[in-house]
Amino acid sequence: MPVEEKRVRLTVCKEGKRALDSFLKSIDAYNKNCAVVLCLFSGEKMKVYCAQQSLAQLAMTLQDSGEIIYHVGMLAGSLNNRGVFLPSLELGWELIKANTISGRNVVVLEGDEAKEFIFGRTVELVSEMNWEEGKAVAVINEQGEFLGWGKIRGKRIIPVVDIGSYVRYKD
Amino acid sequence: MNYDRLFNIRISEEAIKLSRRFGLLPYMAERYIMMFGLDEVEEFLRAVHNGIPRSIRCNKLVVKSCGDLVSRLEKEGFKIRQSKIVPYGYYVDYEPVSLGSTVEHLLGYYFIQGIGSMASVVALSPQPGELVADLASAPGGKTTHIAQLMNNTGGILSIDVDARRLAKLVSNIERMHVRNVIVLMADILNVKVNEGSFDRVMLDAPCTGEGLIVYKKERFFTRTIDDLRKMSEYQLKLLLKAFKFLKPGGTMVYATCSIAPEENEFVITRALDEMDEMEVIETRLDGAKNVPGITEFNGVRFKDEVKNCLRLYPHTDSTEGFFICLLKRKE
Ligand SMILES: C[S@@+](CC[C@H](N)C(=O)[O-])C[C@H]1O[C@@H](n2cnc3c(N)ncnc32)[C@H](O)[C@@H]1O
Repeated sequence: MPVEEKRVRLTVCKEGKRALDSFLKSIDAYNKNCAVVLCLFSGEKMKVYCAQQSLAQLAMTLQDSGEIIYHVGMLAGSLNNRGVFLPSLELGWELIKANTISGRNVVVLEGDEAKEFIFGRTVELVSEMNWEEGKAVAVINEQGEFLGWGKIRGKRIIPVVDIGSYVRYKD
Repeated sequence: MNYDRLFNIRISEEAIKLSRRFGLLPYMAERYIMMFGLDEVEEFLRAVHNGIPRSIRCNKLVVKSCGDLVSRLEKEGFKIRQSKIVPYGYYVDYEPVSLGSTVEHLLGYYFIQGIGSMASVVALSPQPGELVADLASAPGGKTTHIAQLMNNTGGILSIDVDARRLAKLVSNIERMHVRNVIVLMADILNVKVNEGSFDRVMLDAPCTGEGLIVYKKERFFTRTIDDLRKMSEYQLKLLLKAFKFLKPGGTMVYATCSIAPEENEFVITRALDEMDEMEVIETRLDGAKNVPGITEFNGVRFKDEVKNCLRLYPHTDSTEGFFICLLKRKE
């Protein structure tokens, strides 16, 4: 398949579903709202979407008639060319809202810590918890609102993606 | 019919005086005199000069009670006032920090949007489970609002041609937690979508932005009459194409953030000339002054039905200038 064509092709894909499922498993989570998993190649990455059946069908019909699909349903994450799955902010929001992620994989940040995190900065944890090195965690504030995904490094949380990115990268 | 005279503006003494007083191009002053008459034109220009505060749309997809959002923002020092036209729309009279930088904004609890822009979606009134097309959709103010009224059910086809604006559209769809949208990067004039398959269509057409002078005063002197002529031709093409997306019996909104009759009633009049299946239905909103469409401008008579369209102005409705017209495809 020519590269250009592969880049923009939307497919119902097992690879994306597998990556999403294994990510969810790694953080003791599950997602109820993923009727169909679709993948879209974009540059170096493959974007993984969840969609309702009828929406997925409409998207495929549109693509068959020659249209370029840019987004469908909910972005669940993306898979880079090394096979690493990067969860989306939407996925985190969904898991926290539905309470379908184990508390062991959720970090609560207070006041200024939360602010630092949504500025995309590393946060020093004051709590005494023993976190597993390199683990992906969903970060929330005291109100239980999802702020982003982080990674544990010692007693620090490195932001992977945070809600501040909605305005940081605006053109 | 020869419509050329519509774009041939004779500038009067009054218009020159007005243009000096309020700092706008004389041809624009003349057009405003034609639109409002000598008494009302000053009211309009004064309202434009005073400006209107920014406004936000509370995102009921995620916020359980808009009252709670308001209290939360008020605690942070914002001064907030509910709109009369859109119950979940609020003016922000004072911003201690920029509205775009709050956590609530990042969490998708609100969208920064003019009340006029929100009113166009209220007029469209999309229902849960429907199939809706939002054409010319980036950066997504209308798409995310349509999803809100459909409670994330059914489907929305959201199309724009501009790649940079599309990125913003997708970011807004994600931030606002919208799940029922397919985004296409396409020119709607060439798109190969099944015609006649949508319950509702929104065409928020590209325009000169004349209604946005309340926010951006430079629009008083950066647009020429030739811009209006070109835009009007383009808008007609888009409208004729957009209308074909509708099912028989379906409804669409043609909207612009412009108050220029050349971009609005004139475009509708010409579309009605070309499309027997098109009818204008009364566009009226609770809480609005409900200023009707203009039926004659600069000596050119438009179709009578255009009076059913709706105009919003800063001096009558405290909104940015907006034109909203509901159209129906006959069964
Ligand atoms: C007034 S703006 C739309 C604003 C948007 N509806 C909202 O509420 O955020 C007009 C849009 O029309 C798009 N546009 C212009 N010509 C187009 C075409 N032929 N096909 C698709 N989009 C077009 C522009 O890229 C622009 O984003």
